[in-house]
Amino acid sequence: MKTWPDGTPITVFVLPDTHPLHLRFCTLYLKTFPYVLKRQWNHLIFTGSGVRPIEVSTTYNLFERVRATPGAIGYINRLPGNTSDVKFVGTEANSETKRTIRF
Amino acid sequence: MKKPSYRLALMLAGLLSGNGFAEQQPLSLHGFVSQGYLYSKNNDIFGDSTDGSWEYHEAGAGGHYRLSSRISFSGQWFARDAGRGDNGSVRTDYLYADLLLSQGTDSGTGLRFGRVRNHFGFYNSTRDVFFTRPSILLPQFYLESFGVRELFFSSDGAQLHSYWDEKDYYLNFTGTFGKNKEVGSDTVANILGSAATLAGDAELQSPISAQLSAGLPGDRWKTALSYFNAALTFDSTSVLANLDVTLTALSLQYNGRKTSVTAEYSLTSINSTFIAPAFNLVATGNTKSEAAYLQMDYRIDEQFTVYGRFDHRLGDREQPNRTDSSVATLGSRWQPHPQWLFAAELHGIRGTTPIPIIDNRGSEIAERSEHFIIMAGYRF
Repeated sequence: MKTWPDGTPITVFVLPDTHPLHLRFCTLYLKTFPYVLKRQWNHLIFTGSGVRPIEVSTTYNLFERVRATPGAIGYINRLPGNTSDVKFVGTEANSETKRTIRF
Repeated sequence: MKKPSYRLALMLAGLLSGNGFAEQQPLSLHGFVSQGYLYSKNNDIFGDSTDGSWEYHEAGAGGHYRLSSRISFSGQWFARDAGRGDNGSVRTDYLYADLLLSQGTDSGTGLRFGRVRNHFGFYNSTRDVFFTRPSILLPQFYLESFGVRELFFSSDGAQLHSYWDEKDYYLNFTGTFGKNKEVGSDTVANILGSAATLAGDAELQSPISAQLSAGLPGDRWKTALSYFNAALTFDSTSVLANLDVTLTALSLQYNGRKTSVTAEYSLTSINSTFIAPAFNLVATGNTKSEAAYLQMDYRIDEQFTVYGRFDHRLGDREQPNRTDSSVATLGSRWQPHPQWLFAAELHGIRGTTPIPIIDNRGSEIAERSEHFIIMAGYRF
């Protein structure tokens, strides 16, 4: 899946592989490990099937980039103050969120 | 100082139009370069490796351009030097337009036109990228030493691709229909041996390939069934030859927190016909060969992985003792940074088919040999 139903491109923001929240997100939502996710991204990039996610260094940066980028998706570990312009599409208690985003 | 809590993991999506940052750019670029060093005993591989060889490097660059939500273009250009088997010239690895026919959250279908990569096994479609291979050298399953890369590697034609996602599993399908293409004289020499000294034209006709893959969410387990068929014709003043080649493969992989296990098996069937009108001779035959490997990777930490593999091939099922070969591999991979990768491997080889003939012209290939290989790679 490359775009949302309205045609907006999906832009994926992630934290570095070694970040504890990235590991938690991989195991909790994606039911996988960071090395498997990286392998999948590499396959997409080097076959020309998709583009890599944008890596940011902190959860604050990730939240700000998702908030300011149309069609962006990402994850955070705590509720920030201003959440009026983002939509929470899944939490630990509600892990029915679609797990796969295809490029 | 209070440590941050990672108990919560909230998935979020942006709703507003951007004001501080631009959305994902329509053009994205990528590239890679890797350099190897080989030292071997008894046989040469990729240059004069018995004296130490640096004749093994790969470099590629490409991009992906999104024209609209339904149309994108992708291309990659690539150069590889691998002893006498590859001379480092730049070639178009793939270059295609991708038209998305349908897309939902659970399924989608698209059609690619141009030069597309053939999906065969887990690694053929990215076989030249050090960062995506399971080791520095691929197992015999991928026919690396046979000098037939150009036949196998990509097709000029159309490719249908689809995915279906369910809660508990996913399915992918890729089917490729290629047009006929001329085959280079080096590849003909690698396939037909002495017959290749005859001047003639060789063509790969109607190549088709298909792959159905499936897995559990997150690829804890994944599997693939791959198929490739093509006819190779050779036409000279004195000999006509036709080889109908079919490859079928089954792949299976388990991915755990620390351990991955990968196994792949392939069966190659070749129906051959040789006609020599001058001698009133017609010869036909069928050869079936098999290749399989089992590889285990163990991740010591996020940066360091060790792996071992046993790789076996029967060149002719009817003559198993005369045509079999095996390779035992021990290796380690170190990735100190996402853009840098280093690896080292030891190979113990029994049999002659894993050894490229082209690197050992003029000398007899020894039945046993050992290789030590190191490689460094950078990507962007």
